Amino acid sequence: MERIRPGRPRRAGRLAALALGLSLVLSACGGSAKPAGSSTTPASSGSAGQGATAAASTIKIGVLHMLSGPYALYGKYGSQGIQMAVDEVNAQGGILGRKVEVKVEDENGGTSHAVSSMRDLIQNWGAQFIVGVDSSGDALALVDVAKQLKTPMIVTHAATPKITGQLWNPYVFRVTTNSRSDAWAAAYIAAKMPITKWAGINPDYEYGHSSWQDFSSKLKELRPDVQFVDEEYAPAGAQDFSSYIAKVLQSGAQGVFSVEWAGDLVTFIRQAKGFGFFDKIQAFMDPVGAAIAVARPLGKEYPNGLWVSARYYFLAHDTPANNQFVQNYYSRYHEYPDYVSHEGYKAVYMLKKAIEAAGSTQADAVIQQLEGMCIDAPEGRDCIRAQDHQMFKDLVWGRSQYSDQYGMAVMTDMQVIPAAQVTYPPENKR
Amino acid sequence: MGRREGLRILGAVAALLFPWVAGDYARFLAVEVLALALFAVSYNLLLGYGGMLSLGHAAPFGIGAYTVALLALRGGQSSVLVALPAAVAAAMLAALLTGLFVVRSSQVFFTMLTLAFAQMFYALASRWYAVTGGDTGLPGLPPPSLGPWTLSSGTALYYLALLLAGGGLWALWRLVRSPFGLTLRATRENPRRSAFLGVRVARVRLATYVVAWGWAAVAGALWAWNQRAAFPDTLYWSRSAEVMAMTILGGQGSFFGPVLGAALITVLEPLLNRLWEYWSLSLGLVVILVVFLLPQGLLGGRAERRRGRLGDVRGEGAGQRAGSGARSA
Repeated sequence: MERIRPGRPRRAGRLAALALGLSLVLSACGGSAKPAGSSTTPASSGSAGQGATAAASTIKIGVLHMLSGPYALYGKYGSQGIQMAVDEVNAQGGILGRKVEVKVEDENGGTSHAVSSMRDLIQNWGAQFIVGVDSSGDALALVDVAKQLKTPMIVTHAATPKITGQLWNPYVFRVTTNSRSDAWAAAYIAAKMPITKWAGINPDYEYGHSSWQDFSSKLKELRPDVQFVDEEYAPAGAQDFSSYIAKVLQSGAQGVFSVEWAGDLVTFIRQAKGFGFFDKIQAFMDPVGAAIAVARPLGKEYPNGLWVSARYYFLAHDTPANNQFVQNYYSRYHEYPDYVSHEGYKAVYMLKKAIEAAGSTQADAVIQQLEGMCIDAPEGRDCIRAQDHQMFKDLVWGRSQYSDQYGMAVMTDMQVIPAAQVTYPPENKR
Repeated sequence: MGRREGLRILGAVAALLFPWVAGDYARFLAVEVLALALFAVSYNLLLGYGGMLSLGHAAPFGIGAYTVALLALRGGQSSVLVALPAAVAAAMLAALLTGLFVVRSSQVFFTMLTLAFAQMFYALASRWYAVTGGDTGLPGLPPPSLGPWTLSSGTALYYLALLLAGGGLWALWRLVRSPFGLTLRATRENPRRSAFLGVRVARVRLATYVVAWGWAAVAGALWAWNQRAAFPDTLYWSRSAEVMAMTILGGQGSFFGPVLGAALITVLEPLLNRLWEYWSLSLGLVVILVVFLLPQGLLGGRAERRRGRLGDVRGEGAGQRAGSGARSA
């Protein structure tokens, strides 16, 4: 007997659904605060450009970058670099006489979303190569998709050593330094400082944990007298760093190492200033602190005298090639190229060189060419190690100083940690 | 009747032939749709039939995904015949342990408790680096094997998904139409009156909870085989919210409503994502529109109309006759 009527649980369900719908809308709006700019970049709109007229003969490069969320500025700068290179290549007649087509998809939204986006790019859109990837957490899963779908993938940003180490597979290349090289370079700088008590504030996932591990072990090796007094891990996308800041200040640390990045680093710096953090400690180091994606949003708020680096720095190479690149980039986007812009730009040219040398876009042939390949990038000559597909290069560190000329903090007193010091033996099996 | 039979046969043939005409990506999406359809129907057993608004259904889904991933990557065991029962057993055990606490509470307390327990499982998965890989999860899952075959092709996996989702839907369909299913609906409508009639309400709810978690684990295992990985976000509360959205979009009053909801959201997401960056905005708008314009969900109204026409008091799903206030008829 079943003459039952909708009861209260249903109303509760309806209310909950409403709340859910609203929160989805709000989260989309909240996340859009920064990427709003990216929807107007040529990178995002350029993807639709060739569309229907593109014959089967175009070369398709799928791009995965963070277009929303706290890391969205990186996605914007990375896509800009890639788009600029592709437009240059197309203007010169493409690759093997074929036009290059780019499509950028949002990596933000969790690892499974990134996996689906990559599958969509390759299996649905027909991408023959994948370039980009911001998050290390995503990269660890995406390298497996590259292997499954036999699609070469050039990582331009995600820095976990594992993807060219224990999780290496033949389809994965990285054209930037990884977090171990970054952390070691920081350790070389830190070892020269007259301080012994170090602490860390790092993102609470793979990248933060492994960076601290690499930094602290290298520093201990160089300076056996140092002590590590505190290590804090803040969730990615954290809005409130105050408890971590307070703990580090209480620990009596003289130096602090952090690999916080993008929007998280911006939030962290603003809150830390409120605590007088940068006056109370003697040295603050961040290997990605010189990113334009951090210096631009902070503007004059950026503290002076921090030890920072970037995997490419636009002011670090006074060569005709680099000056030309910076000038072209600036006149196109009215911004200075971030390191992801440079690495994305370089990745496209590496693909071009490899495809032309192979005479085809066939994955195995291109991989064979990319292994051990060198290219004259704006920053200089860069080579991919054949064994594990990892790139090592000189790393430039400096101290932050606000500049009226650039309208943001730039690196001064630059010093170079040579590639040889941050190169380690291959860890992959092949 | 003849026309409906014909449509059913046509549907079955289309489902069987699908992988031979579809591309790789469509097959990948189809397996995801099948897994999430089973997930949503198992959720609707709680929400639509049991009146239990759970915000913790990601837990059994993630437990299913992690069980098969851990067995394959840490134990070298990727046989479906071993991994699947293990996944179901793990989820049902977890359901029994947490269910004892949650089924006695009602309304918002039930919801909050399910959320709290599910977040504990999430914390476990995303923190326990040594076992679960922490926030990185467990990528690199090998394809499952069934007897002598390795289901490495998308087509083979599709048929496994079709079999499991089809079997699950059939079993749940039988369950909701059984005397147990009717009792469950009675406890939803009026727990006190059911208790007076001799129904052990908490026990019925607990059994439902355990069964729903078991099938959700099957869905989670399928999802992991399809993604070739298990990630902590399979356990995060937003997945519980997503399955709720699928169920409500499709219609909680209809048995097959959640299937439609799961299919729509899974297929729409990449499409919307391609059209513009704010895809989660459009998804939210769709859910809000459905709640206001079609509070019964997309299929809920249909079930209601059919029941009205056929006078079928044992129609699909829960009593959806809106209107008259005779709640305790």
